Amino acid sequence: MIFNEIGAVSKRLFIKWKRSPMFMVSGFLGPLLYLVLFGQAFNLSALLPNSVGNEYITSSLLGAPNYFSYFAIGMVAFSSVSIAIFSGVNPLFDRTSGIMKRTIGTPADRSSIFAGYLLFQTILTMIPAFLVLVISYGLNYIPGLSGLTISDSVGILNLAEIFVAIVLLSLSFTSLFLAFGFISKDNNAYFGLTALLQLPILLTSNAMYPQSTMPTWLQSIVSLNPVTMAVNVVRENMFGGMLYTYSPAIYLAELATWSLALIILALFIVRRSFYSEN
Amino acid sequence: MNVIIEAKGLTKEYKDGKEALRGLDFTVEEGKIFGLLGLNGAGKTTTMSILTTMIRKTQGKVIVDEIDLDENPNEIRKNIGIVFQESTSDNQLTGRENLQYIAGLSGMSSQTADQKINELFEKMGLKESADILVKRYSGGMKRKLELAVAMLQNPRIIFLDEPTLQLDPASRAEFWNYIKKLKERTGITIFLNTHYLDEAEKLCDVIAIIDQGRIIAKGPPDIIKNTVKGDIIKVKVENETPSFNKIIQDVHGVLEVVKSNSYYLIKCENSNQVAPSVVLKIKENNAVLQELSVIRPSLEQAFLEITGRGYTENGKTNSDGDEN
Repeated sequence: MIFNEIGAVSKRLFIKWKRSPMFMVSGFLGPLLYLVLFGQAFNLSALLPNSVGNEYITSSLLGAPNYFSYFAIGMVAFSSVSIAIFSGVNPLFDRTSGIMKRTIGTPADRSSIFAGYLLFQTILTMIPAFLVLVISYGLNYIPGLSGLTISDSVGILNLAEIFVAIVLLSLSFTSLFLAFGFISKDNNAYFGLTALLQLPILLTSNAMYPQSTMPTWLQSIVSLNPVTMAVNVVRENMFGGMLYTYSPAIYLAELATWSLALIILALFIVRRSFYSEN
Repeated sequence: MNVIIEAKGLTKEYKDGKEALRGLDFTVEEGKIFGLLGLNGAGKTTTMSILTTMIRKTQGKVIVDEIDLDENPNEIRKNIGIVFQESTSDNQLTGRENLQYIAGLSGMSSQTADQKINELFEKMGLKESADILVKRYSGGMKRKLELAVAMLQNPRIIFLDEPTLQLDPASRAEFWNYIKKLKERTGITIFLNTHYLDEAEKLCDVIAIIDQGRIIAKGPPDIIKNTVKGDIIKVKVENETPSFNKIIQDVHGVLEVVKSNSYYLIKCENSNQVAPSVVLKIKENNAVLQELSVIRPSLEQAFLEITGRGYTENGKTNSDGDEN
């Protein structure tokens, strides 16, 4: 019964998405352009004098052999966040168009309704993250372009941890922005909020720059950002884990705590929004 | 007859302090069409929203189909169908996909759902449009689709909230016809919110008039109409004296005389007895009778009498301005 309900919500959203995939295309193109244009042109290693050896660069970039490889993993997380930010659009539009009213008027458990949105939006959020990962690796085979260089010892377990990290990161931000979408009274409020949050989420993480180069006050904030946790799991598994404070399992546990907290908070907010008297 | 909906001391106070319902008491009998009639802002939609578990009540007790609203709201939603005031279908989906969506949320197996969906499209006359995107549907087709959605899980009660709002007269008549047939065929209980007097009169077995959050009259349409005592004789005269109003007022059997535009509205207990006397008085006073007609009690008059306010087609008072 619960699976029927979750499936019904996800299926409807999938049909709509299939018929107007512009959102997906535009959301995915952003990180891809970062990867191909910014990532290729902006090479922090090139700014350093020749006297600085590769060893120093690799240690500064937490094991990444070059800046592009470091940056590409950052973009994996960023692409996930930049799609998650639009997770609230579906409930927002469903609310203003009356579809939400019809949905909550059915016997379906209201937690299942939220779960249906969460399932679809999380999958949608994860897809570009994996695509960025695959594309950045594939760039190795295009002459003249830098690609993601990974350690030779990457195995199934490493890939499993990367997968879990991306799932947890997607769940965290999807829950958060779904909750915003459910409670926003109008489109402007929602889009204003997302525009305000997108860059700070990216810039208070180590997605683009090593944490060690940041001021101390910013480093503490960066450590708490789920993007940093996910990025650390992926980098540690891709480049080797000698230079990280914690093991991937610890970062995953932190990330799982964030995800769980945000899902519970979102569920509470969303269930309350079903009774909002507007 | 069994009581299928019961509300006792139902109150609703919104967060902004507005008291939408002030102690509603009513019952709805099984198999009847119950009409909640009132102006915009009277409390109709709030009442229906509480009964259908869409919003929370402030106080009072509600039983819907033997289920206590406070104890099991999810169970109530299994036994009811709702047609909302506005369209709630997804325009980017076809009619069939919309129904499949609701079937999934209602726990129906896909086989049962497909069978029921085909049956509903057939009955609603939407068979040819089932696989067309809802954004291509006309207003009347969208209303039918809303009704099909509400009927999907074979509900015992169907709630209609201003179902014919914004429909053209032909579509309204067709919708009413369908509702009547539906009741005859299935014996379903229908709870209808409306501000259309003709809709209430034509469809409902019982009408409750709601005004400012209180039910102020309840009964079959004929009984409600009978609350208006007497008829109104409407006359238009020329060359009347300034004291004409007083002269007519003194005619035996006349209760009240009001001048409205160029007409005199003479309220009396029995127009058959009073009308000849009025004509005689007009002659005696050398005035010229131009028009005379008799208005029998109508639901509109009853509404005016009971609420003390006039009525317009869009459900707003003609004395109070916008009530929203």
